[in-house]
Amino acid sequence: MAYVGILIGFALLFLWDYKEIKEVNDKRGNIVYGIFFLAAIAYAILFKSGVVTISMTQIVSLIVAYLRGIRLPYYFR
Amino acid sequence: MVLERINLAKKQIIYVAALFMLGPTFLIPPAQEIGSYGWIALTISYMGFLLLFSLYRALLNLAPDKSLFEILQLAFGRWLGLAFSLFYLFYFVFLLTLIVANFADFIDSVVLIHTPELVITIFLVATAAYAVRKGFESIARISDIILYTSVSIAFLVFLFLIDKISLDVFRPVWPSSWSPIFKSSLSVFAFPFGETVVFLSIFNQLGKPQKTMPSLLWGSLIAFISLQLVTVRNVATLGEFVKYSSYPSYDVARLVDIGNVISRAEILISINFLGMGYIKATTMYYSFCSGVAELFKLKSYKHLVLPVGVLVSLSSLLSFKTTIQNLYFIAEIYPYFVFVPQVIIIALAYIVLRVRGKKVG
Repeated sequence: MAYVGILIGFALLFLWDYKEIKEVNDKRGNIVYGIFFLAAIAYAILFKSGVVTISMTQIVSLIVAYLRGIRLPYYFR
Repeated sequence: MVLERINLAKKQIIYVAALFMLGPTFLIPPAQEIGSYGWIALTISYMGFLLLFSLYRALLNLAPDKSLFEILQLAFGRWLGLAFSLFYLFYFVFLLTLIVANFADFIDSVVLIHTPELVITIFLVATAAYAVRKGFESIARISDIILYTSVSIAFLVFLFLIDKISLDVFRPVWPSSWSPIFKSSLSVFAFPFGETVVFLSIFNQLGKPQKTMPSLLWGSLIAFISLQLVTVRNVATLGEFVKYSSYPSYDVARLVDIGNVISRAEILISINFLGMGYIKATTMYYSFCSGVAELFKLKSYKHLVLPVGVLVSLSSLLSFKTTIQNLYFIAEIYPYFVFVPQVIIIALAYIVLRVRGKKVG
């Protein structure tokens, strides 16, 4: 049911954007929009299913901690 | 993208710049971990910012009508310039995620305790998305109301607490060790002063550097004075406890009690945080969307706003499990990461353009 809700939510977002997309009529813009939109759907579904548990903050934390040679406390990983 | 001209008065640029720097730092004042020496760290970091400001100004003087992304491509060539531009876009969206996470964390842990964080995040991002779709002018238009309200509230809380303030906590004035102060200064320099690098990506839409750069300087001065006021107020009221408080400004406002009539002033601090954080979030949001549109030569940025909002919401929900984790990140990770986009790449671009003797206008 949650996944259906996500898809309905995204359909509404697309309907909201559709007018703007049609007005601008930009092929390159549509491709970039498509990439962001599909990434958002994929992230939302993976987030809901619990597959994705990592965020940008954690990725940056891991990289900086590695480069600084510090150990992140267990709870921060 | 044909860059949209943003018509703002000088005053509005000053207000937006000030609010951008104040943002979440009004609630989580900088350098709280060093207690009574916070004001020294803040002063040192502002001196550092003045040097950084000179660098930004010199860079914009070399290429007055260019945006940050165009300057990067001029300095480093097409591919390396593109790589650096993508890195900056990542930094913008990353910073936006942090701001939303801070917002949601504060509201979820202090104001609306039983409301799911997802609901809070969706409402925050949706209102920001609405403003960004309306354009930067609409964001700037409310900045004067928010700035006047926020600074007045900060000053009012200061006055209400005057009987609880003790200046003895600032003694001894000379610290026994400078190293924690310098470490803290680096943190304050990165957050919030260095974050003004974001403005380099939109200043060319606002007008000539002669108009925008002095406004940025005045805005930073307002932010610096307000932050000093808040830092001194918090330390003078809470003493050494300020080091262990998650939201010292909020805890300070809870102490307001004048004859059992004026009390529970913490709601004023929440209003401050929401207003200023909102301006910061929308500015970052706008910079990211217009940056993507500019880099990929799109006709408009507006249809990117909603999908970006969804990505930011989800990423911010996964960012921090606790407030302590957030504070650890700000102190130990964030300053080292952002030193690259805030200082190193900009300095490199300036040196390269200078050596090549390019002046583009």
